[in-house]
Amino acid sequence: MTIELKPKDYKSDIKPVWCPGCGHFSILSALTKALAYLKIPKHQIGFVSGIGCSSRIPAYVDSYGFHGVHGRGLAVAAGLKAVRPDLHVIVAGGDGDGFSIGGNHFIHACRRNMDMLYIVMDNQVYGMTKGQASPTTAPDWVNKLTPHGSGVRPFEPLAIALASGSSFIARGFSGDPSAMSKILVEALQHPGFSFVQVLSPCKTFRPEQVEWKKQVHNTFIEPTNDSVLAAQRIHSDDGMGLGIVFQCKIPVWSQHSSIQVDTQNSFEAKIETITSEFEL
Amino acid sequence: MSKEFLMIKSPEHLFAQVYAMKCESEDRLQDLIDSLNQHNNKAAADIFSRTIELIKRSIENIEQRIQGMQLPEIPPWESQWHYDVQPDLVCIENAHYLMSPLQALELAIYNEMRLQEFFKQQVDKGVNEDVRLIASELFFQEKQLIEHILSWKVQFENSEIEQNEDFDPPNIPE
Repeated sequence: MTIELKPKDYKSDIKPVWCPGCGHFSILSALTKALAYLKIPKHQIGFVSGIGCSSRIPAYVDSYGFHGVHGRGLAVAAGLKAVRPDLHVIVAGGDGDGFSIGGNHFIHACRRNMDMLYIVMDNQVYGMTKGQASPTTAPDWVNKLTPHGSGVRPFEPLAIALASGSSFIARGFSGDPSAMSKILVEALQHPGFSFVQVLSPCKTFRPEQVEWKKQVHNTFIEPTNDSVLAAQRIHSDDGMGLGIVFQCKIPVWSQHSSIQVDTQNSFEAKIETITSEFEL
Repeated sequence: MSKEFLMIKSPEHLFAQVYAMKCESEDRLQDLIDSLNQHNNKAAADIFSRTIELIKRSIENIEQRIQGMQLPEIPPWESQWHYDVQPDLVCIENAHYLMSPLQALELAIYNEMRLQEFFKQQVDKGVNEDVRLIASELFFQEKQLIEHILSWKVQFENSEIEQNEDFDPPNIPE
């Protein structure tokens, strides 16, 4: 018998410690809606994260979860997916975790194209450590720590994902959780690496981001499978366009890999080797 | 961003919509209450705790009404309201860890007023008579709920409401 779960059923008993007004609450809501819509059993979800405010999210979802080390969520998730291809592997983190500390993992996760969903909850700031400029922060954003701005051009997540070979690229906004849940449903159904950047205002350290609600626009109505067109779309956008930019079907790593890992056999084989070596 | 107003065509559809909205509203409001409590803003949390009790009562009423009805399943992105977010959902960007009880109260009222407007639109522009009738009933229930929340305002109007202070403020531009 299949028990029908409501979005609320996917939430754990742990209360989020995010600030009141944080956009991450809406992402949690959109994700639980997407999981309920797709009727994904809780025990078939492996939720991995790095470090940061956003990376707390696996604790708030009632599924298997792993709160990893800074920037290494994708590396842990790749290992998990390799040995448990039956799981729906979801990775979440912030812009600092994903694009700075974990920037290299991000590039190679895109090109590896393992079947997983990567959500980056982008607020253009390191919130947990009290408001430093992150890779997606504008160069002229002034605060106490960067009184003249960082002077560094921001990282362009969608362009990097496209150039690195991600087969699903989208941008959502936490202020529109219903539309975001649709993007997450599409991303979860996509076979391959799905990258979703979610603009998620940080009410505490970036109060001016409250204006994002007026600045976002539904630009990417239909995804394209043409990477040249997708690149044009991304570069002509102001960074506030929402929707699925690019989606294509390319071989998924686990399907064309020459090494198929069977955990039980591997484990037994290892035991046998050890036993024979030590003549136990 | 704005969404076109879409007409609800059957009572079942209306109840499915309203039930989903109220449940979501309760869930998200609980998140906000927990978050405000975590940040030691008990006064604002208390306002939302009182509001959530009213929402819970609305949910119980709707659950009684929909007994035996076959409600359609509506994916969240096909919800039929005229706002970017559902009418009574707390506008999360308006919440703040330093918000005063009065600000919390105004936010709670604003949410319910948007829901009231949603019902009004169904009454004014609806094409199905049954939907218009039910929407009219729900409109008046919502009106009572707003009046009830408004009555709490009196205790704050005559007192000096100060913005809460953070002695270890976030690192924002001076």
